[in-house]
Amino acid sequence: MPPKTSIYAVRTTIGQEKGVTDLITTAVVGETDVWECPHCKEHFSTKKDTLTHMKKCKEGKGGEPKLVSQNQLLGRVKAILVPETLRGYVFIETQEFRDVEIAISGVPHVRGRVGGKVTLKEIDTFLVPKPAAEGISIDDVVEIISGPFKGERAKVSRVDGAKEELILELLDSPYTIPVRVHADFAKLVEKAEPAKTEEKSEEEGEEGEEEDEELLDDDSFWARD
Amino acid sequence: MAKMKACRNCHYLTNENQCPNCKSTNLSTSYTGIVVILPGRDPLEDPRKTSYIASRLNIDKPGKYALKVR
Repeated sequence: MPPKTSIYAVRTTIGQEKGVTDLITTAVVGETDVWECPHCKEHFSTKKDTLTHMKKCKEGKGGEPKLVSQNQLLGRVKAILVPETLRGYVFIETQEFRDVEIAISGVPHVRGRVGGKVTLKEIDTFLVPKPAAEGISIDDVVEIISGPFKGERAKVSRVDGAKEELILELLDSPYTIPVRVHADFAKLVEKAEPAKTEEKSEEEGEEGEEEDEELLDDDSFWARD
Repeated sequence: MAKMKACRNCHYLTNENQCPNCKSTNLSTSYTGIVVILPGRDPLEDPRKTSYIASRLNIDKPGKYALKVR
């Protein structure tokens, strides 16, 4: 039987997705049901505990445990998803839209809800992330976005698909030192000029533009000595 | 709070040096994305039956998981 749930998106302050997730988790898990003994008014978290207490209760015998309040979210909110690729959004899997409203009420850094459901196909793109090295090929120019070479531009000399690593040569280094960088830490800046067979499919104007960029690069900040 | 570590086998997030889910010690601090699978009314219930995200990621225990572990 397929699960009868829907996924909704919630907008948060950028950088506060984890905090919002923790607070929603606490809202769902933290609160328990409250059952009351009809005789001594003592509170318990489960019906079973109340019944065992009522057998020994000195104030009176018999009767039924009274349900004072019930956790509305437990069992209705199924999962929370924080894909770090999409900043400022948190996805909540619930049975109804109403549950999202209850879950986010009073939570700081929540900036609003997104109307409508998120389709399962869209969610799948976050659940199964595409390999980081995909789309990067030899001779492309990338920018390193993390680590000791942060902000440097480099040319790809080899792609290690299995390890998702790139072997790069720094552009503004006078010597060609191969640097091994994880593909997640490299951002594609410029594609290498397409091979002659592919050129036909590309528009001619685009090709010219790319050449201009290359020329610019030579006397840009990155090319200076 | 110290950054949590993700288990390379089951992606479970923990602060310990051993994964409480699969008892593996192969942990990593480099991960992206978080999924929280919340427990149902019955704590022993399999979340894969009720949650799409849990069934898609094949998670059989409620808890906090990483989406991608390096």
